[in-house]
Amino acid sequence: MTTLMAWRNLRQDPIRFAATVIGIVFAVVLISLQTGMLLGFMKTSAGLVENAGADVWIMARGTSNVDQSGLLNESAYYRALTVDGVESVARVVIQFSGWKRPDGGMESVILVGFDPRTGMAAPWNIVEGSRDALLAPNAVMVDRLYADKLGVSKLGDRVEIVERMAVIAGFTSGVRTFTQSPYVFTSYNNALRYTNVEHGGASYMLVKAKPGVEPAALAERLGAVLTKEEVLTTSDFASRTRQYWILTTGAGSALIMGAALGGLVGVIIVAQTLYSATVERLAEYATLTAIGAGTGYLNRIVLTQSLIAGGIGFTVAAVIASVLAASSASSPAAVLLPPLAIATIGILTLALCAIASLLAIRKLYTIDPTSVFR
Amino acid sequence: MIQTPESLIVEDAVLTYGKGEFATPALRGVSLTAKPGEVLLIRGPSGSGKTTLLQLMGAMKEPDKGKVSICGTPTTGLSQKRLRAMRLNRIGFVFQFFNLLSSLRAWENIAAPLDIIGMDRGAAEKRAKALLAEFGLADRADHFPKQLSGGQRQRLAVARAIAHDPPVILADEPTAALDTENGQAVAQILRDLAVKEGRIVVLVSHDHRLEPMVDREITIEDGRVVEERGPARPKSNALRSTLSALIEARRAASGDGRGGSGARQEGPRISSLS
Ligand SMILES: Nc1ncnc2c1ncn2[C@@H]1O[C@H](COP(=O)(O)OP(=O)(O)OP(=O)(O)O)[C@@H](O)[C@H]1O
Ligand SMILES: [Mg+2]
Repeated sequence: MTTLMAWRNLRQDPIRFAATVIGIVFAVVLISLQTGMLLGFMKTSAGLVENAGADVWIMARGTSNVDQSGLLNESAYYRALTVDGVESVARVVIQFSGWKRPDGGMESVILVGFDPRTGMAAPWNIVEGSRDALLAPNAVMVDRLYADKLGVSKLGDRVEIVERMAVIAGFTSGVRTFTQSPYVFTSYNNALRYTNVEHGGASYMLVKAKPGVEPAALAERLGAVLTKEEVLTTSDFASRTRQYWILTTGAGSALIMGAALGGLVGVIIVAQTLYSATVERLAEYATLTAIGAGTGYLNRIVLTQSLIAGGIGFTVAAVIASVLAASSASSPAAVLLPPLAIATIGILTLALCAIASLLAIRKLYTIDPTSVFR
Repeated sequence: MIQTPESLIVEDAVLTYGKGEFATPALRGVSLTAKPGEVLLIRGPSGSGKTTLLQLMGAMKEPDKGKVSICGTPTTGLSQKRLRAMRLNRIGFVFQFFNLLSSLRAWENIAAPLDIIGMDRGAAEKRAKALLAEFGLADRADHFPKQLSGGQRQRLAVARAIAHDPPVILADEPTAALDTENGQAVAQILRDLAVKEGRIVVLVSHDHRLEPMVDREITIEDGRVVEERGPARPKSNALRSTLSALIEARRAASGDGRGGSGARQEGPRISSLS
C-alpha cells in the first residue's frame, strides 16, 4: 500500500511530478553522455595499441603514450629476436607529421607505418581498398571519419605529406584518434620516406609471442636484454596511454566533473521537490503516525516516490542517451554506452534518488502525532 | 460500577507544556475511568485541557506525573515505538476534520491501518468494503475523500477508526464540522460502537446535542475535573446483560484486551443517510 500511496502522491501533483522527472532526465542524460564520452576516449586513446596485434611493445625509455615516442635503432630489433619465446618482431613507425590537403590547407596527422610481413600495426576496419594496396609507393589509408578534415573523399585523391606526394589507397571506418591528429596508415617502407626514421630503426618494435608464452613473462625476459629501452605488455602500454591522455590532459577529470555536476543537479531537484511534496502532506503523515504507523512505513512512502520518479526519469534518459550514443557512431568523438554502463547508471540514479529523499525523510522524523489534534 | 481490567484509567495525571516562565499547566491532576460499553463525554471551556487529556488516553504521550492505563497496560515509561504499537492495537481516533488520506479511495482509507498492521491486501480490501457497507457507503468505495460530503467523510473516518477493531475509540469534536443531521448520525454510530459492540468510547465536545447520547459526562476546567455526571441515560437491565455478554465475548476472542470480531453486529450500522 505504501507503493500505491507513493504513486498517488506523485500523480496528485502532476506538474511537480513532471518537473521532478524532467530534472532526473536532464541529470541522467548528462551523466550518461559524460560517461559515454569517457568510455569512448578510453577506447579511442588506446585503440592503436590494442588493435596492433602485438603481445609486447618495445619503446624508447620514458614513452608516455603511443602517439608520442622516441626512436629505436636497428639493434633493438635483432636483440629482441634472440629472446626465447619471441615468435616475430615488427618495426613500426608512429610519428606526428604534416599533411597538406589538396586545397593547400595544413593538418597535423599521426603517420603509422606498419609491418607488411607480420601485419602488426596494420589498419583495421578497412572499408575501401586493402592492406596490400599500401605496399605501393606513396599509398596511404585514412579513416572515413576524418576524410573531410583531411580534404579527401575517394581512392586516388592526392595529397602531400611533408612535401612528398601521397595517394589515398583505402579507407577505414571508426578508427578514431584521441588527439586531433588522424591516423594515416602506410607501410613501414613508405613511412621511412615521410619521416626522419633511419632504415632499420623504428618508433616501436612490436613483438608477437610464441603460442602459449605469457606476454608478461616475455616482456620481463625482453626487458632483461633490452636494458636501454622500455618493454611493456600490450595491456600495460594501453593503460599507460589511456592514463596519459585521460588524466594528464584533464579530459578525464573534466568529464567526471561534468557527470558529478549532473548528479548534483539531479539530487538537488529531486530533494527539493520531494521535500516540498512531503511538507505539504505533513498532516497526512501525522495522521498515519497517530494511527500507529512507524517512521519506517512513512519513509517507505517517500523513498518509493523518489524511486518511481527515478525509475521513470532513468528510462526516458536511457532512451535519449542511447539514441545520442548511436548517432555519435559517425562522429569523431564516440559516445560509448554499453549495456553494463547503462545498468550501472541506472543503479546510480536510484541510489542518488534515495539520497535525495533523505531530506524529506529527515522531516518525517520531526512529526509529532499529537499535531493531528487542534 | 466495578472497574474491569479493560477500562481506560487515568490516575492523577499532571501535564505542563513548556518550562519555567513559559510553563503552561494543562492538566493539574485528573483522574477518570472510561469503561467498555459506555460513552464518556469530556466537556469544558476552551483551553481547559480536554485535548491534552485525550492525547494521554490515546497513548500519544505520557503525563509528567500520574498514570494512564489502557485496557490493563500502563503507558508509563514506554518508548515511542511501544506507544505507537499501543495506538495501533488499541486505539481508534476520530478527528474534527476527519483527517482522511486525500490520495486514497474510500476503501483504501479504511485499509490503511490494516496495511500498517500487516494484513494482506485482499483481506484488508474485504474488511474495508464490508465496513463501508455497514456505514452506508458501499456505493462510495472508489470515491476519493474530496468527492464525499462532510457526513460521509466522518462516517468513513469512523469506519477507518474501527477497521483494526480497537477496543478504544477516542474522538475530538467529531461532530463540530457537521450539520445537525449528520452530527446526530455520527453520534449514533459512536454510541453503537460502545453500547452494541462493547468498546470504550470517549468524546471531547462542546456540542450540547451530544448530551443525550452519552452515558457519563466529565467537566474539566483549568486542568481539573470539576464535575462528573451520569449515567445520564441509565441502560436497561436487558442491555446491560447483553453488554456483559459482549465483553465476555471480546475477552474470549483475544486475551490481550483487544477486541475480537465475535462481538460485531451483523446488520448495517446506518440505513437512511447519504
Ligand atoms: N503544544 C502545546 N504547547 C504549549 N501549550 C499547549 C500546547 N497544547 C496545548 N497547550 C496549552 O495547554 C492548555 C490546554 O490545551 P488543550 O488543547 O488541551 O485545551 P482544550 O480543552 O482542548 O481546548 P479547546 O476546547 O480550545 O480545544 C491550553 O492552555 C493550551 O494553550
Ligand atoms: Mg481541544
